[in-house]
Amino acid sequence: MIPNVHSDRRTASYPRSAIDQAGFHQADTACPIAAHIFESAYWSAHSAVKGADLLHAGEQALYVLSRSPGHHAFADLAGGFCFFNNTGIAAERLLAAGHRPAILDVDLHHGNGTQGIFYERSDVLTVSIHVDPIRFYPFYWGHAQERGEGAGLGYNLNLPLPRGTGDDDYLKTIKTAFAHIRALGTDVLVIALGLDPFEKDPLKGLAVTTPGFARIGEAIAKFGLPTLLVQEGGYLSEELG
Amino acid sequence: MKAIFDDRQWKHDPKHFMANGTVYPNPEQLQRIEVLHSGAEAAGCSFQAPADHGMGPSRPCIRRNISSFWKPSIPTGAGLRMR
Ligand SMILES: [Zn+2]
Repeated sequence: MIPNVHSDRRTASYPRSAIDQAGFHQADTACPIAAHIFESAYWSAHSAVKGADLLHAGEQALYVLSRSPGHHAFADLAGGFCFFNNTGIAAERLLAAGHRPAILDVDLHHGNGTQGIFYERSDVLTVSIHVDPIRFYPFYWGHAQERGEGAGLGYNLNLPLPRGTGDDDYLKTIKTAFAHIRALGTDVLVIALGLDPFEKDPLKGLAVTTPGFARIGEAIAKFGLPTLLVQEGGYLSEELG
Repeated sequence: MKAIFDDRQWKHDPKHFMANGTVYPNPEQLQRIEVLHSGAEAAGCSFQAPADHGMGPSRPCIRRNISSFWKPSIPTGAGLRMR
């Protein structure tokens, strides 16, 4: 199902017909709805919840193979192959268990859904490192001046990078992210783990190498917070270690 | 490292998506699971499956009945109303 009419505002009225409800809930044409999407998205979200529970029970690091991915999904808007926001759901689970979670999104693309869900809140910090969206998906979100609103002002940090950025500058940027995460009192970290910053990714947005991913992994481990790694985009296996 | 995955995540098998007015093969393919699952295991991950908590844990991140049309068989009133 790919709708052909979209609402311009979340305050617009809600339609009854399925195709137009789809138009209300789909940000783009990269989230077509097929027969089993609910099941995959539901169990993907539950995998993230289980990861959050194990983190709360004392694990230091866990990997969640969430698929369908989640970071382009808003509370009422699917987009970019994402339907339920898995990292957001994990962060809510950790918050309910008494933690102070931050979500660090290292996918090639800005985590616009995650930003949208927590934009007016100070209880879940959202940070995203991604290709400058001025000419790159998701275009409308992910710019440095988007810092949160109301109670959430200062609790959203976007760190856009020029296309083609490599390991050294990426590592510097992740240190900036960590400093912010530390400063705001985070005690558990949820990583939206996109592997598409890889230099050989077909999207060619960033140029992080295999040793670069290893350095990112070391930096995350050295940062020292209990960490939930939740899969987002990317197609590669050898970088998972 | 412990890792989490549920076999029901295999169910969604999208074929196409649209961009720039053109239909393309969908890159969010089932093969991603194979690659990521075996890659994680090769890196020392051992997988376990999650429990079913219903829609409760997802509800803070869901508004309106966003997913009711993804699954025609979802029970009415299953909690996907506007929060
Ligand atoms: Zn991505």
